[in-house]
Amino acid sequence: MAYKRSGKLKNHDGLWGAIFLSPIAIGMILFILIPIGYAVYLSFTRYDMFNAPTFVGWRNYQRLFDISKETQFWSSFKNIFVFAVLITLLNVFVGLVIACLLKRGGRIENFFKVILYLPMVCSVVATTSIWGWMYNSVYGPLIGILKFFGVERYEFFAPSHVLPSMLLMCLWSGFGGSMLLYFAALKNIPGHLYEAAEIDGATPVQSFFKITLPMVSPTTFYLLLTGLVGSLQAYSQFLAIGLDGYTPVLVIYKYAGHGYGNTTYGYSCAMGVFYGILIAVIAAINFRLSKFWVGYDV
Amino acid sequence: MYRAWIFIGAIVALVAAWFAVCKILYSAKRISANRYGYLARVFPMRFLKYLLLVIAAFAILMPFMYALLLGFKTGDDVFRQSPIPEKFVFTNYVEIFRDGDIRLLSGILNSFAYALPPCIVGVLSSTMAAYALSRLHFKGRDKIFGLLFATICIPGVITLIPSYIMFAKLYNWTDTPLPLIIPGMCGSVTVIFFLRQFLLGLPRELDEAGIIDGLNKGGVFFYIIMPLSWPAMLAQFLLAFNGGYNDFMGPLMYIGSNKQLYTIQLTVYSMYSSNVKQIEKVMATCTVALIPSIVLFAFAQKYFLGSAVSADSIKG
Repeated sequence: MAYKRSGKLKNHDGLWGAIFLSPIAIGMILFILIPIGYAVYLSFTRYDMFNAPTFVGWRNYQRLFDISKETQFWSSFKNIFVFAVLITLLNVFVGLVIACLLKRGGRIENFFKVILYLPMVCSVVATTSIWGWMYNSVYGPLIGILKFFGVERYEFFAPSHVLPSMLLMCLWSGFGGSMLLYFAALKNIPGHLYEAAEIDGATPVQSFFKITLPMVSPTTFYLLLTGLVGSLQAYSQFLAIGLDGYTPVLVIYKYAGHGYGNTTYGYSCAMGVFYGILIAVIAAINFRLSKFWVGYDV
Repeated sequence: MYRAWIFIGAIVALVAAWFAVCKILYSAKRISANRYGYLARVFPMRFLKYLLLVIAAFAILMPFMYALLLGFKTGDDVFRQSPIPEKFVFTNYVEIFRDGDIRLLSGILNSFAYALPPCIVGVLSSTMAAYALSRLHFKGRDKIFGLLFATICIPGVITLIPSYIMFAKLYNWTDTPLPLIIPGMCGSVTVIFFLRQFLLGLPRELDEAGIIDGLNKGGVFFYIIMPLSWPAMLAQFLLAFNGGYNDFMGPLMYIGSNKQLYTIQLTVYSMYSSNVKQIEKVMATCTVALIPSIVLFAFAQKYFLGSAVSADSIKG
């Protein structure tokens, strides 16, 4: 080690940094950056895995934005938008309510926390298959519960009933994450705030809205952002339960086809690029709006 | 419908009766104000809280119980509404292991084989990157971190199809599990993020002591930092392993055409989507497929529940 003229300590941090960062850098370049560039390139071509891609200009995008013809993508787009907004709000709401119930953090509460988090660690395919049979409209257990309440016939996967069925299932498997984050956030709220509010004569409801909600707003923001971005890309539950082509990712997957001799790879790349950019824009808007309602300091 | 109304009416009547009795006892001076406050305010809230929690826990556990019980049913018994089997038979759980078509055991072993290497190597490379980004000082370090963090925002849907084409055409990795294993070995940004937070909490003096004793920065990492950060690494390893075991789309895209390479998730998916008639076997397979995750969670819940990202850390 020696001092340079500037007085800074000369070290080999740069070299070690390069060595230690090389695996992730290679991974990023090979498996994220190059595929993105490739996707953009292919989206302007017609490609079938056998012959070299032929350049077709904006034709793929024109085909995509021909809303009257491309009904599959745009109807799935509508589906997923409603689904994503509702499931994100439901997850956040239920997570907050349960976290408030668990706030005391005693032994009983921790026991419930472990149980309620369980679906989060379980395989989507297995739990979805179980739910698929539970939703069976003749033999399933849920139709039995509905019969108790006087509903004799209910098709859980009729077009108008798909959304509530999927929302219930995804809420079941998804609220554990928001519950856990809210639980951690509630633990971090200093107790003296509540004591001060109580001395000033605030009711529990008031202190919930004036203290708890603002104090957990960073968590709420994080959950809304990641929840929206994540559920706009949802597919595995829908694929596993047999709703082919219900969400945009599945439509993209379908157009890429299974097997060779299919010429729509370029088109599905165009869809992917468009949809990915849209999600990134939504995330960016969310970030911009956050400064109006998220408070980071006490 | 009348049954439901009777049910709801009975609950409302019960609650009203409770408050009425409390009030009457209080006004007749049979109980003190203190006791009245407990019985009419504190106790109902506490009761409601635990009632809600019990209902939620029951709703969460019901599908698991249902699948387990259905696995014990015989073929005809499945079509009775009651989830309790008329006669408990273990044949489903035995047969799914014996059946050469289902290949359950090889599915489980494949899942483990594909999930383990990327987790072990990936967590190591992530720790290395996190060390470089938190404890080394070089030009542009924070820019690199910002750049890496920005890649989280790239939606995976863009790379879904081109990665498939690349793995198939450029690398010629069709029908091999390599696309599931190799990318994970390079580490992941979220893991780097968690581990960086952890490493920032270790005191600087440790590095300095190592340097004074003649280690270089690489030695500091391998002899001082890594042994100290194993709990964080273990937590990330367990999460990543569970994620790899539960992965569905990756195996479906890259090895979906070769039954010998199937992971357990693909086995469940192919059984459920093709063979709906033998639902008792599907449910038995689902139960078996869930066991590793549940066992892992039961023994390591501290790591699963403790590694929740605190939202403070994304403060801009």
